[in-house]
Amino acid sequence: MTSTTFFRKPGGFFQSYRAALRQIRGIALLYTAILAVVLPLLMTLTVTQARSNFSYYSSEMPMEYYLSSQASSFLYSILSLFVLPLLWLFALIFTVSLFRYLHDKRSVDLFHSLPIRRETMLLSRLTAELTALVVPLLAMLIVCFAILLCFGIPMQAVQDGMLDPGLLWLRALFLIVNVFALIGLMIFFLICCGTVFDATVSTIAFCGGLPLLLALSLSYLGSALPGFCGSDLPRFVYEGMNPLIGAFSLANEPVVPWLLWWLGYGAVLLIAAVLLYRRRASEAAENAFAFPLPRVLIRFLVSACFGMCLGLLIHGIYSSFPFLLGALLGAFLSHLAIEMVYRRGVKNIWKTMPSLGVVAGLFVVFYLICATGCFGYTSRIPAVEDVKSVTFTTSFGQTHSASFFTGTPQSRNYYGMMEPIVTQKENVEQIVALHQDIIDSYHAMGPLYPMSEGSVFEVSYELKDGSKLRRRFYSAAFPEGFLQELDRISLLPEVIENTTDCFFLTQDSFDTVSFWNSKENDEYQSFTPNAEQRSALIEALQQDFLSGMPQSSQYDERWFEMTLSYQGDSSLPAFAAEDSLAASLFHFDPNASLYLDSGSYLISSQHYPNTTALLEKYGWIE
Amino acid sequence: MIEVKHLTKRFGAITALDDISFQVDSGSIFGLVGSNGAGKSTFLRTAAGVYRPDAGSVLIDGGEPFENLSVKGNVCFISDYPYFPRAATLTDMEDLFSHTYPHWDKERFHYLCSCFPLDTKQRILNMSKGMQRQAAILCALGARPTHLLLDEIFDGLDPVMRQLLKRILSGEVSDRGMTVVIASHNLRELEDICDHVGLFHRGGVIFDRELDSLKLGISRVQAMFRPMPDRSAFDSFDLVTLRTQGSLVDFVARGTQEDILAKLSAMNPVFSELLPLTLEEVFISEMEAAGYDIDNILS
Repeated sequence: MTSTTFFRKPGGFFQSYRAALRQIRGIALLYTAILAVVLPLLMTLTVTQARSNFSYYSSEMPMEYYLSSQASSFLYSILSLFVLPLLWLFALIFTVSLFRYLHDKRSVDLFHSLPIRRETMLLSRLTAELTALVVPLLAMLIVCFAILLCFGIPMQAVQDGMLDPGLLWLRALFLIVNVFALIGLMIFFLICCGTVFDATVSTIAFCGGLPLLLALSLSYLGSALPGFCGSDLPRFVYEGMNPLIGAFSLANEPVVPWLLWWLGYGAVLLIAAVLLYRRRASEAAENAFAFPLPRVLIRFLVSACFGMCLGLLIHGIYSSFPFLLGALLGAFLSHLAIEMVYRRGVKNIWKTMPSLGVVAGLFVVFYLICATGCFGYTSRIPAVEDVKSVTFTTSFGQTHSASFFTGTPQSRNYYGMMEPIVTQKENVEQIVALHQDIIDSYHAMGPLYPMSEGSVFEVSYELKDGSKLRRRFYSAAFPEGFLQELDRISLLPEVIENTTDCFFLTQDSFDTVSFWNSKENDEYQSFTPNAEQRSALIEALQQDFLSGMPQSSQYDERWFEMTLSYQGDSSLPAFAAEDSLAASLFHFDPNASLYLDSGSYLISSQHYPNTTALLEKYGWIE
Repeated sequence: MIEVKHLTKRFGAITALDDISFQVDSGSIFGLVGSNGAGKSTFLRTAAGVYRPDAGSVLIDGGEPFENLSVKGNVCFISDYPYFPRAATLTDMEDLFSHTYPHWDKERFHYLCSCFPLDTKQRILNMSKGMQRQAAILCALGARPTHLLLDEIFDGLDPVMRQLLKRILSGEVSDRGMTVVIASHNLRELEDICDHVGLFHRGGVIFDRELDSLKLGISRVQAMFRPMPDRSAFDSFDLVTLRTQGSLVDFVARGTQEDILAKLSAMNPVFSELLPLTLEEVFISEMEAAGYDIDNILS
């Protein structure tokens, strides 16, 4: 009695859920079978193979730890490279199977005449889809852990080894939440569209169009808006709207905020889908659109993307061809194409020209904003007294820049190269003056700045109020004498000390010095200096760099390549670690160990007189 | 009871139902007839809660069906092309309907299954068109609805099944007071089963009337006159159609047979005959009167 009441009272959720599960049971079985082959079966083979190879490859660690590390690398790889695309594929198949009833008049007649609410119908089918996707995945992961136990690997070894179950479940959860967001997006478009074809076109166009439009816009801004520095945009802008891109970039680093974001993303789209579904006319089935939103959105995205693309392409090939003309041409052609797809022909296509006019108008406005410096964006320059520090980089290259990595010497996971950090007021003044020269150069070019290209000069200010100002310029607008002035600034002692690797060394940083003679072309010779010799060598190198000689690119006939073998535990000197700008350059975890990357020096008496004299004194070179 | 009040339904620029009003009494079998595109199917879908009216209302036992579970639980709709999920069998459909409709009658469903030659384990989509329709009928009748809406239900059914269906429907109406609305172009079948008829044309209702009074209230007359009177002489009749050929006149007129005969006698015909109309003839006559020119369509 109770169960009968339960089944019949709540508006058919459970019945609709069961019917939906039954509808997709065949595909769900196929999906489960693929997962069973890919996860437990391949896992068994991997661990079996690892056990038979254990004696050859790894005798240093206990077998159970070796096996757990092999299983770990297998599971992490398979989750990102195979399970994720598999989830997407079956999410697409399940979604289309379960929601295509909306796009068929006959099925709408049946399902919309049943005494089940529309939102109940939608949510029950979504629940059935998630059940079919998630339950087999979780079951197979549990089976994988059971297999590890069957191989005699205790859970302690799993936790102590590289296979962290918590991280694995978190990663699996990330994949599930990401797919939930993708399903939300697909259902939203399926509700808005009248046919599966239009919904598919809209979903693909949205997923591809939005990041493409952002990338193209940034590319255009980079060359059309003087000073624009695209790297200022957070990664979220590219990845946060598109579950497909977001999943690939974050599959290896699932973090709770992203989990919450994709959960919220999917939930918002589903709520929107439910609200729209309640208003959706049943007669929209087999029509082009139930709601015009996707059509407007996709038409704009596609027109803007192709317009931007064609404009940049033609301008890239023929620099004299105006970007705006190419963009308008591309927008027009793509507008016609997408309308022909949606309308299945050209009938009444002229009625959509006003929307093309909107895109064209936006292009013109966008172009004018960029070409006039975006309301003072280009001209903005900080007062010297407001600057706390400033760094600058060029694409011309730096010699002996100090580069660092985190993680362990065996497993490096991040590299960063020190940028010149300038804090002394007189030096800041020189960089600000150089910056001002570039802006003056742009002003001299006329009211509409041309698109820029060439080598890059990027300057980044950290202001005393905590804000930052970052600008990037191209060599097309460099004023006369700019490169000479830049060279002079690059040789400022403050700049050299902050960027050159030998200024980060201590006598404990390295233990071996190796030489290779360019003239005799013989083998490497290695020496093990004592602490006093190491200190003297560092001091000699620093004196040579401060003299500016090693920056020269001309070498005499005889030179040695000197390589310092670092200990691997050389940590970033305290002065740099405490410097917020240096830390912000690397974005490293404050608790992580930071290691100095090893480097080599081309020693000649012309460029390294102090070092050469010292090496000769020690008898390491002749 | 189904009450239709100023019901309007539009599809873009097309008005499928244009401010129609009529009523279907409980326990009656109401036949919907009309030309193609008249709005019969649109009306049934609106009454089944599939479509939301743009204006006006359909009230089933006082409640609007759109997203109203208490109303929809008592209404079953079989569309002109019944839909079944791809792999569904009758057993699957029984499972869906039994847990969805509040008055599902398992015994009744299985009894009906024994009446119709259907395999409950066979995929419905593999069945013939007529058998699929039978499957839809079984599901609908198993739900024990108080209102059954049927669109072109006789299509694809063989004569035996048509008779069986008519008998079952009549039984449900007499036993339970079920209300049935059938839209069909098969007027012969409707004539057998319906007690009321509504004629739809271009989104409007030309009339809705009891079938007997409809048939008794309209007659076809064939008469010979010498000399042939002027056409205005027939103005005393409530004419639906009038054709003359030499001294022969053939017309359809509304009114009782006695009235028509009396008026005809007053005109002194050489010969006259009063013929009963089939529903199909009534339909054609009324459609002609409504401007649906069959001669022009056929020519």
